[in-house]
Amino acid sequence: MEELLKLCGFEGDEAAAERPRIGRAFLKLGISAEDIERGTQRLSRYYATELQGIRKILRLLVKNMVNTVLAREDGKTKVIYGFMIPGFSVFTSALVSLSQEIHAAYLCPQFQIILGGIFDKMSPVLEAAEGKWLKSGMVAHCGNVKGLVGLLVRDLIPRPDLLITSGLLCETAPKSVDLLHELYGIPECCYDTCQDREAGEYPAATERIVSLAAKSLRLVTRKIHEEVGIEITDDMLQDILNARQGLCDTLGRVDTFMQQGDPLPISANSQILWDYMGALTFSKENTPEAIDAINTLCLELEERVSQGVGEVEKGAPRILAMLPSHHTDPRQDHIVGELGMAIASTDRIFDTSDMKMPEDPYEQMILDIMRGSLFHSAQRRVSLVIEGCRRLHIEGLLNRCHIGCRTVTGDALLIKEAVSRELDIPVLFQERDDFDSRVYNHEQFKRNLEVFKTMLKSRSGEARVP
Amino acid sequence: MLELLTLCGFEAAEAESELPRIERAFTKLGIGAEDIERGKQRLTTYYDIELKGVRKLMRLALRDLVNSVLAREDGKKKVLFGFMAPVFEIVSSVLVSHSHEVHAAHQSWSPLLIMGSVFDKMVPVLEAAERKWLKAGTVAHCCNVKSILGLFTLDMLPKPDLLVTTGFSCETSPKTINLLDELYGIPGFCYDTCQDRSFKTYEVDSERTVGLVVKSTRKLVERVQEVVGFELTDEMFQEMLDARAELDNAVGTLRHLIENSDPLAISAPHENLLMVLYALTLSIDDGLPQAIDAINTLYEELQERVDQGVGVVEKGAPRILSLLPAHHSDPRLDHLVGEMGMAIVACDPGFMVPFPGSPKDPYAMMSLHLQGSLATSLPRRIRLIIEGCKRLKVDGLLNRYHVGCRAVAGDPFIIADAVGKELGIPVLTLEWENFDPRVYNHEQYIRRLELFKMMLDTNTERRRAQT
Repeated sequence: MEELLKLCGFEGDEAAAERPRIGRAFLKLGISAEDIERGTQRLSRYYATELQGIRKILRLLVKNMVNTVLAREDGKTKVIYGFMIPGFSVFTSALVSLSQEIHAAYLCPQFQIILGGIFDKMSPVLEAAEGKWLKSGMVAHCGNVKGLVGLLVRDLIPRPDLLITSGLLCETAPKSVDLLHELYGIPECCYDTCQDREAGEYPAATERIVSLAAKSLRLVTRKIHEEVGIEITDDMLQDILNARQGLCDTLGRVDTFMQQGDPLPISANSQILWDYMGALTFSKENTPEAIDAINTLCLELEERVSQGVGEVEKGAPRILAMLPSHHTDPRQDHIVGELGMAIASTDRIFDTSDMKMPEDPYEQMILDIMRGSLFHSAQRRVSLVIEGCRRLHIEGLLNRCHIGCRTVTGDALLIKEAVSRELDIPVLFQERDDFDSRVYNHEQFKRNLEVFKTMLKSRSGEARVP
Repeated sequence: MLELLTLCGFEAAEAESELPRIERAFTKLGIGAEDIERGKQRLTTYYDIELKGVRKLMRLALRDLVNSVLAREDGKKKVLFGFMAPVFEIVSSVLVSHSHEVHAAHQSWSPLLIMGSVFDKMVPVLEAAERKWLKAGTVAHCCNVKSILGLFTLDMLPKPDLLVTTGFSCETSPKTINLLDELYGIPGFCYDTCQDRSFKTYEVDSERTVGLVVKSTRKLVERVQEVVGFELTDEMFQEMLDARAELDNAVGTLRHLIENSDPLAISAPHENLLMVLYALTLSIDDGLPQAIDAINTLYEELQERVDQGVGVVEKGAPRILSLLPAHHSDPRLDHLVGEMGMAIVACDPGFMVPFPGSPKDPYAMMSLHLQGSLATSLPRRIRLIIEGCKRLKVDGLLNRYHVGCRAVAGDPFIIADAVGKELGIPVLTLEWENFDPRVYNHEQYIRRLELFKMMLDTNTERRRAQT
């Protein structure tokens, strides 16, 4: 355990002080000594734990998970969860800054990364959800939603006083939250908007959609007020948004190092670690800790870049990958690097930054996420991908599609056609569930990647994307 | 072919005159002589084609399909299609009532009924979509969405000037329309609402949800006006709604008769005919009177059956409420339930949550479909189902769910639980695809239905013993 905690950034007095709590949480989560051994190996193998920044991020994720598991034992009188809900970390950061009796957590990245990515223990959680109403087989519900349901039905996390979701990206999430309310009496609320924009209406339609979502989100904060007795004012939100700006800026710098580093300074599967830092709830006084973790990573990556040190060879083919890194299975991104290809970026971080940031803090929270690649129409997303490939001098596209989401699976063909037509670079299609390691055939994917690499190599004499 | 047309309600003179058009449409749809033979057999096996009302309904659906297929050849200057877009049938009916140059129709209800249920020819259409971006396998996209994509991909339907959809019950549909726009240059339009209704404040929230869809629908109508080049006024919509009220009443009376008949007056696959009828474009002076006549004819014929004690299952057969509509392209399962001596007396999509007040705005009146069982929240849906079961005195629930829709695929577990707890009646949970005949497994269905029937019989005997 000690070694594991060290790899996860717990050192000295803190490690000793936190160990009993972490042990209790691990016990609840079914993490045994054998799992800890495997986790220690996987940490060293798949994550750059030699970097202090990575260890600091892992520490924050572990702490968040442990705090969530032990929230009731810790005496928190109100527990609030968010699931697939943009903006959650902002308004709950305001809440936890005002009251220490509240625990708020965005689910389930911390569990997917720690329980799944490190310990390879998410499958029983998913199976628990499949024992309820979420299905494998023909329906094949999304592994992310199964993660939430599995954690709750297995009592791995305490039942919350409020569970909040949105319908911005997915209809299975609000539906499942509705069922959790119905079956387990978990109070819930959902916000949504009306996504009736056309490509030609951009950006006016986006402003309309954002404005409506902001109105709906205000109803959520009113509900929180009823539940916990604390009113979240616009000033408080603005205050938090300002405090978190440093975090966003630093995260942007990390992405820039990844995009521009040659050789790639860190393996792509580590990306998922910092991707979710923005989704975690930090009180105002804890926010500097998060900024420090990312800053440390930034400095370390800068050093690697300046020294020409990296995870793959200098000059390795530069890949753009669709969708974020796998949430529970680091093997899938790791193997790409092992085979000598550099995932320089994912499309998740592409956004349309040409829209003016609104003054209303609610609209700021919504726009921040809704201008991202995953929230756009297919046409807009395709143009973002093509612009991104050109800007980053990408040589190949790893066109992954999340089978748990029928909405985005249709995009893959369109993206492939457009990228092949406009950029004439190799495209490798990968069908996977972004949250379920069971839907993965390592040998088959490796063979596909080898063919992809050959295609990339055969073009190596040719110029990169102009 | 003439025999088929007779079975589909075409009188001799009309059949003669329509034959060349129908043949042209069938050629485009790949329906050959062998298919026509099979179609005739399926019509007589699965539908009460001896009833004039049924034939009249089939005729309306067949005409709708043919008119859509031949819209461009017929010289229609503007073609508009709706897909998973409740309200579009009103918009399209208003359109064709005021212009002969416009063809507007919902897709793909008539193709699913005629090509699927009658001719068993939907599979190549679905496969065509699967060769594009809609997937079989683990993703298993919905075959309703595959049907519209397949029909366009195979050039069975002309490319419209506008393709309208919504995001009310599905996100795959707007996505697909979006891709059709992108890949095939078919202009698309999506109207929607914000579905954040809370259970506790449902009434108030419903007013807001409907209010928003009214705004979005007005934008749709603005877009339609741009396409067709003439104005669609509120008065036109009100006139259409007033005229369709007679159809609503006729269908309501017919459903009441079916629901209360013992023995069941007509078999369950016919429910699909009523569903298709509701989606048809019915001009105010032609289509609508024919639709009302078809329903009234069927009502009279079924009333006669009821009076004579004639039915499609034995008197006293267990009464079943079925979830989701009848299969859209394959009558076999619904038919099989009847063959095994169970009476599907109703389906839940017709159940509605009352809307507070009486909206005066025709757009609000058109938008009340959002109060329907399939559009409402699960707790409300369960309440509707339980109330429906009680009102109809059903003995069992056929708890089927559509695997193509992940949103509803979670419901059956909790519905079964609630119905079992509150009513203590047998529930058969059945996985199926509402639009795909390939999932039909006859032997498996028989085994499960036999077991269900046994549970129903045991339950009935126990109740009798108790009373």
